[in-house]
Formats: sequence, structure tokens, C-alpha cells
Amino acid sequence: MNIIKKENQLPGSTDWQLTRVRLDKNDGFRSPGIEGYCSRQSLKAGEALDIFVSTKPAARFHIEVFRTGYYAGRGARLMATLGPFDGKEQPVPQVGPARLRECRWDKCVSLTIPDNWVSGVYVGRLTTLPPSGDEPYWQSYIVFIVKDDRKADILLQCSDNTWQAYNRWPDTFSLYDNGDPGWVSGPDVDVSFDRPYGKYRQIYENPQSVGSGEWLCFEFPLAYWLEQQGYDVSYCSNSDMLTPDRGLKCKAFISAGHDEYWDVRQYHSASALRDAGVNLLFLSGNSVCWVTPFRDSSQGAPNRIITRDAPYAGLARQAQFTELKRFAGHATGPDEGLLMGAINVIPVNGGGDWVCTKPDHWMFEGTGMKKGDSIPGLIGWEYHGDPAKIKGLEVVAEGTAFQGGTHPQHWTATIYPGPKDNFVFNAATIFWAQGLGKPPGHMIPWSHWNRPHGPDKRVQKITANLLARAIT
Amino acid sequence: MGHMDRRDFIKTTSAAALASSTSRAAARAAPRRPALIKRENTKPGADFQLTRVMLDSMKGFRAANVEGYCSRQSLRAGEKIDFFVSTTPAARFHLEIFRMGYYNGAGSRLMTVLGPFNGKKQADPPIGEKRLRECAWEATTSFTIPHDWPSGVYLGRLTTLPDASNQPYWQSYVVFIVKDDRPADILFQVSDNTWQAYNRWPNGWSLYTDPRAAHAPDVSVSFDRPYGKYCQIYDSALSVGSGEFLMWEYPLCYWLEKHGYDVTYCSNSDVIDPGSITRCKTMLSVGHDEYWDIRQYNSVKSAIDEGVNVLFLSANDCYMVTPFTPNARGDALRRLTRQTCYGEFREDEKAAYSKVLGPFENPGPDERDIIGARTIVPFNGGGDWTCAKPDHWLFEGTGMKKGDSIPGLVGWEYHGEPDPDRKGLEVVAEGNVWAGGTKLGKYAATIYPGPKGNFVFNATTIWWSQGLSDPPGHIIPWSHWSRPHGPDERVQRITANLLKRAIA
Repeated sequence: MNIIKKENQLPGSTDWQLTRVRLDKNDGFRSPGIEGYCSRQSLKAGEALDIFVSTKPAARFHIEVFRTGYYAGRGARLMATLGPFDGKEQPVPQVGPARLRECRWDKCVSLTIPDNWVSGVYVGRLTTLPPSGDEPYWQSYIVFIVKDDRKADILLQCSDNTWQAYNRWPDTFSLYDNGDPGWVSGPDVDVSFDRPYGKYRQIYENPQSVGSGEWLCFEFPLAYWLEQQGYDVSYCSNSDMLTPDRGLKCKAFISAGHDEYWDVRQYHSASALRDAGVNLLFLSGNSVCWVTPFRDSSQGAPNRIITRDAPYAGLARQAQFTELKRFAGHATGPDEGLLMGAINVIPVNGGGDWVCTKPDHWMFEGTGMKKGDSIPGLIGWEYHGDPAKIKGLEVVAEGTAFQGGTHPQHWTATIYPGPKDNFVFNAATIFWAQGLGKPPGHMIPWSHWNRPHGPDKRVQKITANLLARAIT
Repeated sequence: MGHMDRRDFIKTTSAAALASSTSRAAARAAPRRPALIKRENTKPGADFQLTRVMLDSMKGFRAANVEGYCSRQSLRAGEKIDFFVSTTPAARFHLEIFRMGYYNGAGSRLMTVLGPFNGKKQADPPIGEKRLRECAWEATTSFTIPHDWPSGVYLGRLTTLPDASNQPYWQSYVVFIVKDDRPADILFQVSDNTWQAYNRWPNGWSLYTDPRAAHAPDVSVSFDRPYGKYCQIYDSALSVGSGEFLMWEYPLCYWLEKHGYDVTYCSNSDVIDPGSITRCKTMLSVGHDEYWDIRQYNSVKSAIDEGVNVLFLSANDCYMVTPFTPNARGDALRRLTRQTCYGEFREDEKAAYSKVLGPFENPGPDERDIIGARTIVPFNGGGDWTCAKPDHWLFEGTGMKKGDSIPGLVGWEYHGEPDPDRKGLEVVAEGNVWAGGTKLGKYAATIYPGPKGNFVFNATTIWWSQGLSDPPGHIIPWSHWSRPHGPDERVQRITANLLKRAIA
């Protein structure tokens, strides 16, 4: 029995969701009552993680650490309770160069990951402990990834660069905020991992995103399903893909959800995996869109700051998009189409049905899908456009997405062969995981007047077919 | 009687008396069908969800591309319903009709597809007396409910049929209830008065939008209009056209049908006839059940006296007196008017909420006389549902101890101040709730004995059904900085314990 199957036999928790989450204002992002961050995106068992917490006003609190998985449908297991601690208010950092907001809080606790904690995505639930039941308690999450070096069938890469890119904590400091009103995709803005994740800022209100990035929105339904099925899966951060080493021990690499921001070294690592025979599954949309080099934090911790430096080449070809002019003089990244099978389009936000165009392809085996059959609303809220010119590439699904809700745009889902009888699949949608699982507390999104429906047997079967071939 | 004059009162009550005697006669004739729901749920399920729903603006409520309403809240097999649909711009569309249930997890069954039809834009109605917006659209089609359609809540999914795949299609729902006269274990009363009270269609025309006060009396709403998107606490795409059914009621329906309970469904407006209740062993008030015609109150009260068990798996119940009146065409029970409140407001409540409430003259009877507790002010908030009486039979098998809580289950409205004069009333759960997120209040869940070995349970939360199931497409609410977690084995067990005794 593999380690994930064994782990999932352990008793799940019936209470790991957030109950009381309060933002600083109705349209705010941060939860100053209690909020925190971790010193590292990911770490191995035996290594130490520092946890930083602020409570305003000062309050006693504890941290319950859960591993997210399947656990007979409960979705998470309680691993440890830390504290109680006496919390205090910690300062909101000054605005640094390139609008960087980097916290340097006093550490609350250092947690050495026990040797028996299995690779996975872990959330820490921070809960204030008021002296009397007549005062409300408040909660938010922190999130970190436990990685390992084992030979595993599947490496699931969390899209934590993208979580951080959209994080506005404390209020207007995401990669899209350069001080001008509205959304700006430009250079010269930095974001730091040394700060709490505020509430997810797009398309819908998800209280469970407070402190957990976009994990519970777009990625967890995939992990929940993988662990339900008993796949041998190991987890890593975007920042663990700066070299191909980790992935080379696995048979399949998965990009999940919204995976927009890549250091160019991630691109080269993923290409190297493909060339070495690893199968790549982009169960994601808007992936490999912007080149975002990692930098050290001001205190020297590696890979703690990202900046938007340039578009990848497929995106850069869409010269009609005037915002790209901001990157004049920046060298574009390599062509993301040559990695994924299709390129990015811009503007990209909308939805559509996922329409089968090649029903005889092996990935549709057992789905009953015919040409033109569609899975309602599965495309969104970002997707991939035209296919790349790659030998052997097949478009397996394509159709119309309605950008902004009404403007038709073409998307394509693709598969192409790698050099060692391996393959690269591009599902072309952030919402793919919505069709796989509906874990406790999960919210199906609604955006641009389009919505996916949640678990769908065809999405599950296609994914299972792809993985069956990928891990044999 | 407030604003209904005496002649109208006599007219409506005698009509109700007549309806009551006919349905009692029908009930005598109607056989029990205890396996009906179980058998129905073995049929193949279907996906009923909306994919493409567009509102008229980002902050809008109506889906002008395609929207519709039904001529009746509820009807029996063999009776006729009219569907009224408007498409702006004019568009071809069809109407798929689903019965909502469990169906091996799919959540619904596709019963029929009507159309395609050539839709056209139909007129927004003028603003009538008491702010009424009542459509008088041309019927798109008239449909007779087949005899083999079991009682249930039915959604019609309207979908435009564009000429080409590079044009977007648009959807919304219509909703109606198929009722029957069979004696069943459980009567599931849908809170459709409350759906309509909060319906802002076309934009600012709910019972809450009078500039005088949020709860001003003498404001009317009509069932002759589409349901707009639900206007409170969160964005539910699936509420467009379906009232509040999919949010507050459907998780209970899904769970009951999963477990094969013998359940029959009705509208608030059907309960005017006490015989609609007394044919069943237990009645459920579900979700948010705020608006009651006084005749509903009298029916429920007499049903309790006759030995029916009542489970208020709901909150903010029986809060406002809303007499039904006919629409302009003369169809009965198609308008609601906020007339006054149930029970006298406390002086401090009047003072604190003078800008929101009333003023209400001649309040209706005290809602505590049927529920066991009342809506307390301030309202709107959430809390944990905390066991106070673990030895009570309703907690059997839950493992709950005194002080154990179900996180976030209370909200976003609740009951408190249990009736001190009610003989045998027990507070089974109680605790703190934070109105507006931070202001302390006290809720109470109660049970009290009826006169014939029956009981009345008050769960004290709109969100009770959130703890029962998480059907396809369902999203868990978040309001006032508090949220329930979805299905919970203890909520399921308590409900099963209550029903076991109620239908024995």
C-alpha cells in the first residue's frame, strides 16, 4: 500500500474549516483580529518552519495544523495543536521599493516537521481564545507545503506564486497594483511571501481563502480526488521547480488551477522533465504566462520575493494588447506554447463549455463522449488559446469562451508526445479541478456569467485515463 | 385585522373553509403511497444546474436575457400551469423541467423538455399601489402536470438557443411545486412567501425597499414576476429564478429523499387549509420562513392541537403577518402585503430598530405560541449550535455532551427568549450569537410537547439544512463573519431522531 493510501486511512477531522472570519472592513482582504504567515513556502520533514502571527487587539490563540487530503471524505487530518500563545499586534510593514510589503514580525513559534508527516499541503488554523464565551473568537489560516524526495508517481505542484501575485495584503499590494486605479499588469512591482495571504480577490467571495492563498479555491479539489483514488502523490511549491531534480523522481508532473507566474528556471525544469520522459499535465489555465524571477528576502531567505519581469513569448506575440508595451526593453521568456501545447491569450477572463473534438483519442475511453459533447461551464475563468506547432500535437477539445461574459474567444485543449513515449496534456482551464472533487466547505465559482457544475464523471475518467498512462 | 376589511376577511375565510373541506375529502380518497419517494429516486438522475446566468448589471438581480414565472406556486397532477417567459433580445429558447430529489446523488430527474419557443421581450409592469410590480405577460405555454409526476419541487431551466456556437446561450429558472393529497409521513412546506418577500425583481421592489423603512407596512409584492437573484448575504448564481429553494431548502429535500422518507411538498399558500397539514404525521417549516398569512398560523396551531408534530428546521419564522390577496386577473393567493408583526415587539426593540421596523399596529398573535421561541432583536448574525441537554432523546447516538458545539450552524437568523409559560418546554441547545458579527445575543433551540403525545421542535437557525447535505451545485453561505461547515453527522442524527419519533 502506498504512503498516501496509508495516510488516508487515518481518522479525518470533522472540524478544520474556518467558522468565524472577520475582515478589516466589508470589502477588505486582511483579518487583523488574527493573521499570520510562514517562513517558507515548503519544507521537508525534519526541517524547521517559523510561524509569525499578529492579533489585534492582543489575544491568546492557538494553531491547529491540518494536513489536507481525502480522509474518508472529511478532507483533512489534525496533526498537532500548537500553543496557546499570547498574541500581540505586529506592525504593518512600510511600503518598500517597487511597492514591496515585507513583514518582519517576531516569530511566534518554530515547528520542526515530524518525520512521520507525509508530503502534503498543510493549513494551520489560527483561532483566538477569548477569556469568556461571551466574546467572539476569530480565525484565519496559514499554509505551507511538506515536500519529500521519495520516488512518487505524481508530483503535484502548488501554484503558490500565483496565490502571492494576487494577494493584496494588507489592502492594495498585489502584483496588479502599481498605485494606479484598476488592474495593471506591469513591471516594477514586487510581492513578498513574508506576509499573510489576504482573502482571494477575484471572481467570488471565498472566506476559506483567508490565509490559505488559492489552495482551497482551485487546487484542493484535485488533491482531494487524487487522495480519494489512492494515487501516490507528492507535493511541492512553484519554488521547488527551480531545478528539475524533484520531478525527475516522479512519473507525472501536474500544474494545478491557476499557474500564471513562473520563474524562467521553472520553465526550463519542466522542459527538462518532459525531455527526460516525465509526463506533464497542465490541469490549469493561464499557465506560464509571466516571467517572475525569485529573489531573496531582505533577511536573505531564498525565493521569497517575486516580480513581474516580462511576458512569456506566446503571450508577447499578442501585440494588440497595449499593456505589453510596458515591457519594452524586457527580454521575453521562452514560448509557453512549446511547453504546454497552447499559448496564452490576453485579455483572458470568461468561460465556456469544454467541448470534445477528438472522441477517438484514448483519453476519452470510457467517457461515452462523442464529438461535440460538452461539459458545461468547465472552461474558465482563464484558459489557453491557439495550439503550438509541435509535431504530433492533437487538439482534443476546443471551443468558444466568452471573454468578459460575451466576447467570443477560441480556446484549445491539447496533447503532444514527448521524446520518450511520454506526453504533455493541456486541459486549458483553471476550473479542471472543479470537475474532480467537491471537498467539505468547497465553493464552486461563478465568474463572467459562467460557472462549472462541480464533479463530473467524464472529467474524472479523462483524468484517470491520463494518469493511468502517465504512471505506468 | 389591520388593512384587510371585514368583508374581504369573511370572503377569504369562507373560501379557505371550502378549500379545506374539499382537500379533506380528497385526503380521505387519496391512498397512502409510502414507497413513492423511494421508488421515484431509483429513476435516472440528471444535471439541473445553470451554466450561463447573466444579470442586467454587475449589481443587478434580473436575468433579462431569459426570465420567467409560473401562474401558480403549486398545483396537483392533472392541473394546468402557465409559464410566462421574456427574452431580451427576442430569442428562441426551451424549457427543461426537473424534479428535485436525490436520484443517486445527481439531485434531480429530467421530466420533460418543452419547446423550442420563439421568445419575445415582455413588458416590465408599471409600479402599482403599495409598490406592487405585477407582470401580466402573455403565456408562453400551458402545461398539464402528468398523473405520474410525484409531489416535489420542480425547476424549469430556461435556455436560449442561439444560431451559432460562437454566440453565448443564457439561462435561468422557473420554480413550482407539485402537491398531492396523499396522507404522508412528512409534509415539507416550502418557504415561498419569504422567497417572494426578498425578491427585488426587476431591481428594487422587495418587501424591504420602501424608502419609509426597511420593514414598512402596506408594501405589496406579487408572485406574477420572475425571481431575481437572491439579494442577501452572498451571491448564489443558482438562485436566479428559483427563489431561495436551492440555498436553504434543497439540502434538506436531498437528504430526506436520499434516506427514502415518505415526504410530500407544499407551498406556504397551501397551508391556509389545515387539512393539508393534518393528513401528515409531521410538518416541516424549512430554511427562512418569515412571512405568514394569519390563516397559516391558525392552521399550524390547530394541527399541533390535533396531534401533528411540527419541526421548525428554520428561523425568523412567523415574524410578519402577510395576508394573501388575488392578483389583477383574480387568481387567488398571488399577492402578499406586509401588514404587521406577529407578537408585540419589546419596547427596547422598538427603540433600537425604530428606523427599520413598522410602526406596526394590532400585531398578530405571539409566534411563541406555536414555535416555542421568537425572533429576537437584534437579528442577523451567527454562532455555534451548543448542546444544553445531552440526555434528551433527540441527542441519542450523537455522542454530544453538554457544551459541545456544531461550529457556525446558527445563522444568519435565529430564535431566542423561549416561552416561559409553555408547559414542558425544554431548551435543548442555547448559546451566544453575534448580531452583525460582534453584538452579543442569545439563541435557544427548544422542544415542547403537544396535547396528543406529539412535539414541536425549533432548531433556531436558517442553516439547519446546511448540516444535512451538500447537493450538486450547492455553496455554503458566509454572513456576518460566520459560516456553517456543511454536512455534520450530529445534525443528521438529531434530525433522524426527531423524524423517527415524529413519524412513528
